[in-house]
Amino acid sequence: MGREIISLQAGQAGNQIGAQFWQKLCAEHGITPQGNLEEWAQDGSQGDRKDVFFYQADDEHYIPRAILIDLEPRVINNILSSPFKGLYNPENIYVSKDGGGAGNNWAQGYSAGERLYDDLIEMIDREADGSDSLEGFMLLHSIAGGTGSGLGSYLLERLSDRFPKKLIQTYSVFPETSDVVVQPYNSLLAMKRLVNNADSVVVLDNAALTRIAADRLHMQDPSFVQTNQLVSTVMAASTTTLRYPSYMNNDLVGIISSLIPTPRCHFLMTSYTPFTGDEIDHAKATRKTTTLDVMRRLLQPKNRMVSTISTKSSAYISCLNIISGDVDPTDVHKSLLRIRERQLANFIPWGPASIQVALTRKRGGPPGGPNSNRVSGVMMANHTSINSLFKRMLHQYDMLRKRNAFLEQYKKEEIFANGLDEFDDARRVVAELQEEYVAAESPDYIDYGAGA
Amino acid sequence: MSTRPSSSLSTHRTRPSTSASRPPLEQLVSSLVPSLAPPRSSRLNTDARSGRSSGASSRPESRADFEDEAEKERKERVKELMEWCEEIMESSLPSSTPLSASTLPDAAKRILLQSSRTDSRSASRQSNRGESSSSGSERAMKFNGIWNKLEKGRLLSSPLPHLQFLLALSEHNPNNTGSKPVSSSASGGPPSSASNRAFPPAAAPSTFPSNQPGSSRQPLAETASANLPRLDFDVKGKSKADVLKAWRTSKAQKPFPAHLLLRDMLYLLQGIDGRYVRFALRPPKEQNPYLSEKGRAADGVGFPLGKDGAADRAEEGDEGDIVGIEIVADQAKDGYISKPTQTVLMQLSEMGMLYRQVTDFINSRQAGESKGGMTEQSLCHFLHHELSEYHRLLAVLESQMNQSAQKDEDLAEGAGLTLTRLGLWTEEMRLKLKQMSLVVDEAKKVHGGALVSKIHKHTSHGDPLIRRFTDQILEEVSKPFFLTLQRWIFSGDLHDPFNEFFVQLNPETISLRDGRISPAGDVGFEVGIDSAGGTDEAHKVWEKKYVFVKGMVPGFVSEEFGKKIFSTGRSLNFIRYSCGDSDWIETQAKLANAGRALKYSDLVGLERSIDDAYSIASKRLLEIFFDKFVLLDHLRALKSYLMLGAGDFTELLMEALAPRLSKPAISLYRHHLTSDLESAIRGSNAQFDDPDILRRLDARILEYSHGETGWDCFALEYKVEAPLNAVLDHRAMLDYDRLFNHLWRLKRVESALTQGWVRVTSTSRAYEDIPGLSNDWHHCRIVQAEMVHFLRNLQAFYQLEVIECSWQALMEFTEKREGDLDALIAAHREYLDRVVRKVLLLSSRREKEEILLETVREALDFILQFRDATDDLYGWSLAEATRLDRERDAERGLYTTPTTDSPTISIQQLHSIRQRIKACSNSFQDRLISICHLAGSHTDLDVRFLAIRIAWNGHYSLRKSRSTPTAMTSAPNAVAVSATSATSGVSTERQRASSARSNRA
Repeated sequence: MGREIISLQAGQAGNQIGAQFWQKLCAEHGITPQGNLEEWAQDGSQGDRKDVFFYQADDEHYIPRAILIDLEPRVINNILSSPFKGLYNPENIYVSKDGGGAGNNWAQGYSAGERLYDDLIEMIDREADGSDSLEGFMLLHSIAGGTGSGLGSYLLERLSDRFPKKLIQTYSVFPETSDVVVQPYNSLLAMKRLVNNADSVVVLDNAALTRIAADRLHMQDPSFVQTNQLVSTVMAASTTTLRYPSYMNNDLVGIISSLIPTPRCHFLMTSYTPFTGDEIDHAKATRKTTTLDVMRRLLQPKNRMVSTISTKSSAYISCLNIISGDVDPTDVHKSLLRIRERQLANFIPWGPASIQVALTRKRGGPPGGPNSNRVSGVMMANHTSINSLFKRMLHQYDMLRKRNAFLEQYKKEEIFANGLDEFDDARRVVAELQEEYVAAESPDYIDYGAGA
Repeated sequence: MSTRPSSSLSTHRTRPSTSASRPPLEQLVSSLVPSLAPPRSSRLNTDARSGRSSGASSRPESRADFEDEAEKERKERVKELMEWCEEIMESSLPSSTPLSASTLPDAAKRILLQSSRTDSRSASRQSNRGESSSSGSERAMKFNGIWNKLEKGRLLSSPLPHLQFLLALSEHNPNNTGSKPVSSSASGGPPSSASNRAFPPAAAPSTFPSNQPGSSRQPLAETASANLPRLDFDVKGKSKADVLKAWRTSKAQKPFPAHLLLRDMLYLLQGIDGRYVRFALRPPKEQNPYLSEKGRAADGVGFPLGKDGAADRAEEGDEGDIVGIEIVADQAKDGYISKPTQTVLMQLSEMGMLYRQVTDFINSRQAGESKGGMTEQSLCHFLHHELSEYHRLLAVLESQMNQSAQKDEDLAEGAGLTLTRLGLWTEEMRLKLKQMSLVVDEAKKVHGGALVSKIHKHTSHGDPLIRRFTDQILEEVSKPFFLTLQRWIFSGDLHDPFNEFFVQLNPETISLRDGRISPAGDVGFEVGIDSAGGTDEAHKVWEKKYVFVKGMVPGFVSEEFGKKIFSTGRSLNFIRYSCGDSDWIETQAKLANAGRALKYSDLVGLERSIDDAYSIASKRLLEIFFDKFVLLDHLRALKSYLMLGAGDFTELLMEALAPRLSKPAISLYRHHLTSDLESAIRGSNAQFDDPDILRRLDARILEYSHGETGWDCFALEYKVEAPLNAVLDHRAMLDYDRLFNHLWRLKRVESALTQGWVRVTSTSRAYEDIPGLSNDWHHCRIVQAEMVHFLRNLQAFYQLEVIECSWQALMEFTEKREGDLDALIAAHREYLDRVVRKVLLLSSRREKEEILLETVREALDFILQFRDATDDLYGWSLAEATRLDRERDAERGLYTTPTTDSPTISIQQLHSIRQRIKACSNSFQDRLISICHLAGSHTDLDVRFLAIRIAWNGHYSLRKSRSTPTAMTSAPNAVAVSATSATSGVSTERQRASSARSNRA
């Protein structure tokens, strides 16, 4: 069976999120940390498709289609000492021998990528060859640091070269202001690749994640584990329809094609509700939620996992709600009418747009398990307000660049050896993207670029 | 009127003086016509009581001959007059003279006053006047008093006619009075009672009942009180019957010997003619007693017995219809049969007639080829039983009669059999017989359940006796019904050789099977249908094998309940013959406890038993369907595979089939399709499905015409056989086919569109840098987004609003597992209808049913054309990119292969590609707008919601007026490039599309 998706986890954040993600998928599909099937999952009546994210080894063990890459061993060592150590294919784990990491330097990561090209592409090719009909790649990384950002960028470029017909989706953690001093450089440079080489980018904003952890989960000082759990929850939820096929939204391209009308505007924001103890450690229990509650909350900006600044003209280009659990289809119908009545969502003026709803069967886990029928929902939306994020990014970059601060480390690497044109090019790409998102708020977007 | 103990006298006009023993009429005559009053001896009324106990008889001797002569004369006159009176009274002719309430009493008073004058004159001449000196005025006053009493006291129902009659009498006579001498009695009666001759009082009542109190009884009473002393017996101590008897014996005509009558009567009761009394058959029409007076004259009084109407007349021909009795006794010789006796005889003889009817019925049913069936047989049995009861009663009566005949008549009054007693003792039996004959009458017209229900109607009779008796009849008569019922609801067998049950084999089915089924019933399906080729669907069997005959439902079973019974047996029958032996055995085991003896007297128990059996049978049948035949799994499979619910399977299948289906239909081979189907099953989650379900999946090539591609004629098929096709019948499978066709088409467009998206949007980097094309691509993407949006919403609508919602409703039903197979079939039907109607967007308007569907199909066609056009644009872009590369290479002096295409040609190509894209976009947008309009004004609310979904953000107006501007804004570029060519392109596209459609049709 086809439609396989290969996950690439780069850097500290990427691997941490990845570890949580696989843990969650295993739980849902009934796969033990050793890769065996739980008893309840053995009869094949789950209606799930494990082969999208897993393959079976000769001894029938399930192995994630995951490639773990890091330039420093700490996180991966943690993974390899966790109960899930037996899950991954050891051949798919690359840890830099020197273990020095990328030093939070995009250029260093990028160069490391170039150096490791053969190793990496060997792993990727092997995984791709092991798939019947590869649908695409999923890259998990943060764009603030060195490895995830730099090496990730390099991977994106190579992937789109090597697999031009495969989709590339990334789950990219966007940095908080204070994370790393040079993160504006790193982010901007990575953004260029996200714009040009990825088909779809799920934007996850560390600031928003922290805020959600604090507000929604009432945790004052959420750890990385918890924010990563937030991310992995969203990832698992947004891939539910791929793993539990139904009438539609069964493949990545199906989901993306309805969300992304024009190639550059492919930055998606997500929200998820309700978070409970299942997903996140120490989360407070929420009250019983109805379908309407879920759908309404998904539209609320405070639940979005991106901190953006909405204006009056901000609008949804597209919106997909994936609702899982024991949902009465008539409730969805009613909720949609209610939302439209109250005009809870604003849509673009230049084309038809609406809230799409996909129902999936109850999320995995043993039958009759706790909350197995609970209604939950994830929203994936293409919203024009995301331009504020890019605007901020440009602003931070400009502030830093004006002072030409911290550029020495970059100039050391090959890519900047001939000058800093790469920075300017990246800035241009991001600025264009930001403009396009702004333009998409007006009816004239139909003729966008006509003058160019 | 009032008694006047006046001194009447002698040769000439004597005042009426009456004697108590005289019958009232004579008394009346004599009181009103004084000249005819019997000669009055010198006795006084007052002293007559004590002195002459036998005065009446001794009087003639004490009189002179002359007086005798006069008396004789007078009596003749009186007799004459009385006959005349009688005639008047017996004729029911109305009086010719008008009644006037005010004048009549006055006239009477006047007469009284007048007569008193003459009376007083004559009275003065009489020696022994004395106390009877009531003057005329006094009498008038008396009359007045009496009259008032009569009027106020309402003793008489209509006093005026009586008064008129009396007046007429009094006026009639004075003329003749003087001339006729009063003569002594010369009639043949014994002299002792000569003066007492009169008509029996009963004679008048029998024909003139309303006169009874006034004309006879009252005077009798009054005279009695006045004149009794003159008679030799004391009236006061005796009953009227005795009086009558005395009178009759005095009349010298012996009553007919009662024992003879009794004997005859006993014969009559057995329906046999007696010697003296026999049954009167219905005479020919000209002799109908109602038409002439002859009947009465012949002393045989005809009376109708209970029956009338057309039915009787129809039967007239076959058998002599008893209409009454006739008395053939020679009354003159043997004695006189009084009218009351005759009445009693008639009443009693009714039983004989009823008996004859009942026995006739029994005989006719038992003798002839009995087509009446079990119900009738048991009715006959019951009647037999009852008749033997009747015979026993008759035997008892006969012995009674013999006893009374042996002993002397002067035995104690209470013993022995008399006609009256006969009547009394047989009263109950008479009612029963009557009821039996009613039932028999009904049994002649209807049979089976209808008969039972006819009889049941009598159970609400007011008379508890009859009610009880009817219950008894029903208890017996309904036995075969209950036997049939029992077999039907406990074993699903229809054992009904005479078609008496309200469930009957469908005559159509029987004829279908060429009469191979025996009339006795039930050979089951495996003989009848399955061997006939196995093509018959279980659905037909379920639907058509038995019919419910409403007219045969017994009255004590309501129709709703009858349906329950019908369904119970049907379910059992189905289990037994269509679902396999083991099911039947299990079912039987479950039913074993429910089986109770059913009978009429235990209707509550019956209801409970049937309810039990119904719930067991229905539940069992549903269980078999759900558990053994896993109906739900089949339904789910249909939803997954034919309604494309299993997305992975569908996509694999489409992926595998797409290359084949794009070719002309003629190059399709079924084995390719089936192997692709196989691999799709193996590759998807379908592999985990039950092999039995997967076995039923099959790929099929529909009939195709020239020029069609594989897409047009591919169909997925799901095979069901008996008994599953009781639910999934042929029609349902056709509906599933239609659904698959439409959804498959949609899926195909969707997959084409997503592939297009990959080219147009995702892999756009390849040609990004070609100058002048970015705008084209941008427009393509915008239009494509519109298409994707439309398609996604349509699909989401189908999945969510239509399929899932309908499915949920069906699941709610099946979870309850209520009702019988019919309910299940109906629920599935409703589910399927709902899905078909909404998926195919069918309108309730007949002629425009598919207009929306057609538009949607057109829109889908345009999407495919658009896809082709963008593919061409893609190809052109790649070619152009290569050309530009080469140009650059050439500029740099690298070797290049010479380009075949000149830039101008490729520009022309680009131009035509652009035009095609515009045309497709515009046509698609046109269709989309009309889809929004049509759906927005659709009769189905859910379909309207589809319009809301598509036009969610107001991009499409649901109103017509704004349609043009919307279209323009959606594709302004079309206008910018070439408005004329675009529109012409649209029209050609339309033509193409329509011609393509007509080809397909």
